Amino acid sequence: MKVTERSLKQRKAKDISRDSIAYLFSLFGVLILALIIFFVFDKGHEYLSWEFLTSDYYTTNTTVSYGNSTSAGTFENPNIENVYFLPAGVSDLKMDTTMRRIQSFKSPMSIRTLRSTIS
Amino acid sequence: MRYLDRDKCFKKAEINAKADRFVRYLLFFIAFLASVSILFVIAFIFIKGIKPFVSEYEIQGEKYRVSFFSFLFGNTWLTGNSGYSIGFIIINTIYIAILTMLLTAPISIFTALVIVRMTPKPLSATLNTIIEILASIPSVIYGMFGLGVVTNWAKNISDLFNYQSAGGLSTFTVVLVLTMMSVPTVTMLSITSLKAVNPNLEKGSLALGASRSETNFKVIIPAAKSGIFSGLILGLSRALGEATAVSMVAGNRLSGPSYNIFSTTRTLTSTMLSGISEASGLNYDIRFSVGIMLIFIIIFFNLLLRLFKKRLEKRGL
Repeated sequence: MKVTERSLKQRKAKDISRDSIAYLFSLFGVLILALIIFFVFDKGHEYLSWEFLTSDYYTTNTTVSYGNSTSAGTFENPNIENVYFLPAGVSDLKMDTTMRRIQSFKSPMSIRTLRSTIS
Repeated sequence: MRYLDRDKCFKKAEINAKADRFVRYLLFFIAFLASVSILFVIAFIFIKGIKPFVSEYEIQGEKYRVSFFSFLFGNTWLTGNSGYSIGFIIINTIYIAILTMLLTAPISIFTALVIVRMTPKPLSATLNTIIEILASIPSVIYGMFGLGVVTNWAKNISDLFNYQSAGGLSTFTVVLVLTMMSVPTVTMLSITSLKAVNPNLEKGSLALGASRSETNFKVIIPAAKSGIFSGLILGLSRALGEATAVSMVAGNRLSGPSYNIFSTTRTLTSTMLSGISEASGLNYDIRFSVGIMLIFIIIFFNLLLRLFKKRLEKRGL
């Protein structure tokens, strides 16, 4: 086979394209690992805390006292830290510790609830 | 020179022979235990899996038995109380495995080639570490990544084609997630086989005037094809057998087969896994029947790839 300037150029072009494809494919692994690590940390880092590592997975609610809701509406919130008061007609209190919000309200009584971890 | 007492020599040889025998029996016992445990698992799956076709199950006061023919060839997972069918699921599973392998093979082979032959040592070591880390990531993480990221890609791409996807839960997502999971396995085995290629082949090729790229693609890769095929067989087994990640992104379609890559799908593994904690009676036992089919499919594909490998070797390709 005669080696010409043109055939050499063609060969070089083929080599470059083959190598580029190989390099591109090899980037796949790097990209995926970077994306997975970024995704997991991005979604999970804000909930990471010492309490998250050491406390129970589920929060357990403890009812410390309850009574009839006859005086509902006249009660004044004393603003005690980590103590939550529900309005009359509330029964099922569920604290979502990660979101720090009360999830449901349905009960015939007013309930004073403390998180067990605090008590 | 110190001579050992003849009796002492005999005694020592006897002790050595006893130790040899003990180790031999111990190893034989361990091998036997491993084989028996595999046989036990297979026997358990077969006994449980055959039960739906031979025993009657009482559901809501009526007795039902699954028809083997409709189980194997039907196109709806559940009709009525006992009409379980996996014909379309088998097709979906094979379709997904083939698509996954079509993506996995070039990515893995080229990545291995780049790691072994086309990058300087520090970069090659870094890439190798990345592949090893990817291989060690648990499947549930891949599933979460698929659910959180790849489904969005699928949704956006399907929007481009004016196709309404089920929030990205689709064949496309399953294939991408499985590709991510099987690439490290295939790449690691390909790396080993590329490293084992005789260096004289490379020297000979370069001496004959081939460029480095031509040598890599036309000499080194074909010389390592045996190991690469072994990697592909392992990768395929992983693609066929993966349950957690697939269940998270498949959408668990109830009928099919689904050839559209943006529509929801269902594989044998996702069928076995979905709702297993609430399953009982026939609904529980039928999952073992699905498991038997999965075992047969994996064995079939392994044999097919081995046959293909042997054919290639015979032709000298």
